[in-house]
Amino acid sequence: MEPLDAELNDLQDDALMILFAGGEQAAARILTARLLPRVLNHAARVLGDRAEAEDVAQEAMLRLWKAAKEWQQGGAKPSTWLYRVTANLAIDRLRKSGRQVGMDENFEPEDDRPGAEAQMIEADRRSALDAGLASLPERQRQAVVLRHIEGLANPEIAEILEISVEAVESLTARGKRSLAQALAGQKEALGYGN
Amino acid sequence: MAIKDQDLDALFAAARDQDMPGDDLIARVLADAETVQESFGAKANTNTDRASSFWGLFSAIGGWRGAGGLVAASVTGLMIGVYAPDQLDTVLGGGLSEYGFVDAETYWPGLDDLLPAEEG
Repeated sequence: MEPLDAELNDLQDDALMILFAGGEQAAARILTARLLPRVLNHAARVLGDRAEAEDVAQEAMLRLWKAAKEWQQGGAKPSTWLYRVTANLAIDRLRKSGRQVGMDENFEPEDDRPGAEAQMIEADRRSALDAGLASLPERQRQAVVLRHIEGLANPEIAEILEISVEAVESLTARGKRSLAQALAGQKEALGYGN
Repeated sequence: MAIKDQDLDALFAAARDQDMPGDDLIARVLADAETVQESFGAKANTNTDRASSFWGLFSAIGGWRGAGGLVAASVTGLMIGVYAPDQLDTVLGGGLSEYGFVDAETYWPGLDDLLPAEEG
């Protein structure tokens, strides 16, 4: 990282947005490093497809760059704004593709050899989680991902999904319960038998 | 029986940060950023260039004082063009010819022939 990047690294995202609009290229690098992993992870969990998630993350970042010119310092947080754009883009993709929003009935952990529980790799657990998430309704899925994987607070999730905090609490609670039920069938295979 | 809460939390933790962007995606995002920045810059530069051209010209003619002189000279030139020198002298009460500043026949011979004849 160049010295200028290090100096700018202490700035808040909204200040970086304004510097970006003023032509500061280092601001783009720092914002990308901070925000791209988060939106990519969110899109990947919601869509369950890495390539599609990359497209959505790139598009969301492009919209962020374009919004920089009118950005008001002290206004909306760029991360919240970006999550909202990503969430909407992901939902649009799901709807346009007409993808079945439901548990993949054919999902099985990859390794079914005897004693596989002990050798279960993390990838199998992640696949199981993605399949479980795919079984949830869209909004529940997004709320669960934002709360339990991205680790956001309920008020910020409410702002992103444009619903009340109470609705977020309800969505995450129901989503988590449904997910636990959806994964019940794979409990032993995932190494959570006892 | 549903999976336990702590097992679910372990799954969530495993999923955290699992999808780090690759170099290719980062390069695409930064290329987009550069393109957008250039579009901002092009517009900004256009306005700046226009403004600096005006102020450069303004400065070259001597600022406000120079601009005032330029306006006065233009108005004087216009008056000379509208009124012939002898007529200007008339407008000014004959003061110019009295002191020998204006002699239309000497400096602009034949000018009278081009002007409409005075009546009376």
